[in-house]
Amino acid sequence: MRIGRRLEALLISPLLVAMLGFIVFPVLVLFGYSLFAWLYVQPQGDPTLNNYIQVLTDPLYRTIAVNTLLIGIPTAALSVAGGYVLAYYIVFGGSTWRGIVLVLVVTALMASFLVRIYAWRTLLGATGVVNSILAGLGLVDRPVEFFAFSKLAAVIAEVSVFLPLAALTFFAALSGVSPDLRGAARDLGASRLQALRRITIPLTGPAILASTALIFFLSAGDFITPVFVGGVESVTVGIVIANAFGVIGNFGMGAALSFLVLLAFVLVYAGLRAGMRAGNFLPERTGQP
Amino acid sequence: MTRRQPISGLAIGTCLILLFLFAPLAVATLYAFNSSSSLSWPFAGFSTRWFEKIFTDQRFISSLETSFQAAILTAILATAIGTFAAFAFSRVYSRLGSAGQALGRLPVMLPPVFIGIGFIAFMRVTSWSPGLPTIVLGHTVVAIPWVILVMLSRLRSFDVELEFAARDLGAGAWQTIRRITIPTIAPAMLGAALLAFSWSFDETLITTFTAGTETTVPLYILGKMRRLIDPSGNAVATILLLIPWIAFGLAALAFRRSGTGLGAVLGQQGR
Amino acid sequence: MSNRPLQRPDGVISRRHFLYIAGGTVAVTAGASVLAACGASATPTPTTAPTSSPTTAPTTAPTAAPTGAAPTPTAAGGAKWAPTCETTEGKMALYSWAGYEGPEVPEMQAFWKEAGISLDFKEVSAVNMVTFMKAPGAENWDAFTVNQGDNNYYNAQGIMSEITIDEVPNLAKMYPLVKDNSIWKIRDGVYNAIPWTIGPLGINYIKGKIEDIKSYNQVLDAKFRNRVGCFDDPLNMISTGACAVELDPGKLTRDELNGPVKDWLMKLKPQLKVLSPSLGDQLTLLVQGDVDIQLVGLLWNIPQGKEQGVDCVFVYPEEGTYGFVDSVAITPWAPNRCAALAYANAVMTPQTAGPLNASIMGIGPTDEINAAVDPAVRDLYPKDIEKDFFGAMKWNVSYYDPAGPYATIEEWNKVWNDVKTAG
Repeated sequence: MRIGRRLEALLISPLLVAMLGFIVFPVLVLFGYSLFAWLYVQPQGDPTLNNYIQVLTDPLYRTIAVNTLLIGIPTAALSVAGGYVLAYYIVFGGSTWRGIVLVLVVTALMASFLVRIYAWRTLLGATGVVNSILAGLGLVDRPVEFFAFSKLAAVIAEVSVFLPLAALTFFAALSGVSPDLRGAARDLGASRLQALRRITIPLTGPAILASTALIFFLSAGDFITPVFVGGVESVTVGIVIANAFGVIGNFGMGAALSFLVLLAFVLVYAGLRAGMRAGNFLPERTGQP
Repeated sequence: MTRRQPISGLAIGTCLILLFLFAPLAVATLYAFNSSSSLSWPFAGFSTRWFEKIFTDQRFISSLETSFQAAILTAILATAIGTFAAFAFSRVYSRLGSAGQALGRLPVMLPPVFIGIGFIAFMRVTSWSPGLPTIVLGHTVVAIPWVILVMLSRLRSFDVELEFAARDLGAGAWQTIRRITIPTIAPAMLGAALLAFSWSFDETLITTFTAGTETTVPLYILGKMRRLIDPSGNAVATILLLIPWIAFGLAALAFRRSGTGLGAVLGQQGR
Repeated sequence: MSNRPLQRPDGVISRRHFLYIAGGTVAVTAGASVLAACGASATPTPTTAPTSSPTTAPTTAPTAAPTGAAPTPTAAGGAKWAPTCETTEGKMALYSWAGYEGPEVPEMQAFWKEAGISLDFKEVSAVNMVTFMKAPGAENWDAFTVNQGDNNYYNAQGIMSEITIDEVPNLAKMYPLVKDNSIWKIRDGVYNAIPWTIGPLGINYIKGKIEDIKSYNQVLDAKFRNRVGCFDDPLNMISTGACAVELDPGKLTRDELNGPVKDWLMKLKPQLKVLSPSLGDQLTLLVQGDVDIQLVGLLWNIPQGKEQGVDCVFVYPEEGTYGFVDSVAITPWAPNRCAALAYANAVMTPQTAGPLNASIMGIGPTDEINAAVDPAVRDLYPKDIEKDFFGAMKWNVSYYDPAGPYATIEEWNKVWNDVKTAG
């Protein structure tokens, strides 16, 4: 059944209304907010770039940026690596367990976000499961402190949330890699590792790039996990943004910070892509020379 | 030529990772049945008192109601909007369609905190008050891309020839839709709706901004985590785990029925 | 073209199958709703407020004069819990600290029922009420809690309404120090909020687990490195810092704030392990052994700790410490002002206020109320409240005039943020 122009427009319009109205429009409003100083939840004075300047120069934000990077980079790296392993097993593992593992991965994805955070406290805390086991085995005589309320704990908790997401993305990407290509590489004498590095990974390069950047971005915006398990050293950008809008009422600063984070994300993506291209992790650009 | 392979490093790695993913869930569920009120190891004994406690807590019940209402409305709204859009995307290739698809992917690329503060800006500008409608809108906006993902893959593998055949045999447009198209995609629609439902039920980050005086189950847990120590939070957490899983299980069944397994649906991502 | 009959292609289900699956889903949903409804049969459920039509949120600061519906004076008596109202029935939205609505206090539960109020309670976690009450959705709130330091600040922001002695008669019985204090009193017979619960802030720890703590400065000892928790809130942390260096948080100048107070907090920083998002979380960490000491400690943690089987103690630090007087404020736009007035009266009436205060380990502003407070709690406070408690404690004040002599709360925020993110 063919769809005419009018019908197409009609069908797409609710989507457009939803996205334009609740995402694009608010972003524009937020940008407007970021151009003013705010006091007592009201914009004051004339438009100015002061908020942006303050974020870029105040050492307070430098520390926050460093915290965010120190948590976000390991989170993204571990989630992507772990997700790749899972997806690889599901697609190429070649056994009866593949279907079950896929179901488990999706189940983990669907599992409640808050529950996991809650539970990591129980697992990692001073009187938690891990410390109790270590003490019981006689490996430590005092609870290991840095398991909980540290950047490490924040990374662990976030990886447990984002890894299934990465796994699913890679599952889709790896499903699209034809086994013939790998077989051909093996026939030509490549070892398994070489086939992985020269064929499989570059073919899934775009997915790796997208996942890494996205998970880093999501981790930067997470304002619940670092608060509950990250301790005093894990004040990240997401927390500051959420506070600016929820607690402090400085919408201007919060919005400015959000846009700068968005900019940073774009830069990270571009940088990562350039790096991957240089390292031959992305498929060669096809084009007529 | 196959040969017995020893357990590969890949398999071991997979096992370890799965253990890592499910350890917290197992612990949370276990502690929900802990008879002692402490959250420390070791486990004291088995009891269901925490479940009794939360089900007699008026605030929990009302948060459960709100969560269900929001999730059902989100499922309906997101499935409707997403299916219409996916229908158009799969049949026509036009600039409007590409723009629409790009827009449709937008919410997944933004951290939820941005969407949440966007809603605060929206509510402030329109003088709209936070409450159930804004909760639903916040959830719907992020659920739509998933619905589109599912429905697009289903619609693309849908054999258009069937519709042409029906038209050739004299069926009207509406008849064709009613007797051919809808029954074919209905299981996928149901699956997508259930996905949206289970996702909405657990949504926390955006809801902290859009809830106003309302409470959903995740917000209730957040409140409990901020309150006093009490494994009743674990009991709520167990419920929060089960409901999306049940919904998702039903969705998987629906997908199986639709002829494309879960694997195929997910595998078609982005194609 | 083959002559085989058309086979139904894969994936097309018959109407019957579709109905089965849909029916199953509906059944599960209905079952869950029934379950929820059964649990809700005890008390009337607060129905979700329909807000489908946009309502105007207050965007300009209303003046301090009450703009909400004024209660109409009625025939002799009026409503039992609000003399100036005909009835107090209906929904009420209260934004306050956990426990302030008396969830475990039978007298308070009886009050809510008697007054016919279905309470929509939201717990405070972060303290900045101004942001909350000026953000979208504020128009749904009837009442909220105000710390004595913030009364004038919030009032100037226009989020509080005037309350008269006619509306809450027991205001007349307050200790003179409270009754005539410009923190709460606007003019004779008119107040900006109802101060009803008083308490100290200090240090909590578990007795026997570590040495006895006697002062704030003892917390800086190297052996407590990375073993201290606190409440992540500028108002409380700066006040703690001020008291630790024996300055007055009610009269903190900019130099004092950026000098000795900030220095002390910087020395505290290495001791801190967790910034708790809430007061309740602090006790959790203490009991679970993740920290040994909690700053911004409360008397309330003593009975809470007992419930968890630990001997949590509260210490008044030697340097002196600050206290809090929490009051009930009613928004000028309160949808149900009469219900809010009923609550205000309940927290000032001995038979309800006594047990309520005891449940949160606080005391009240009148002799009658304090006589009704459980002696176990009353004895934690000095006999002469006016002289020995009000006189001895320090009291923080939130300044908001950037041109004034004292540091403003914005500046307090900045210093605490700097400390939090210090290397």
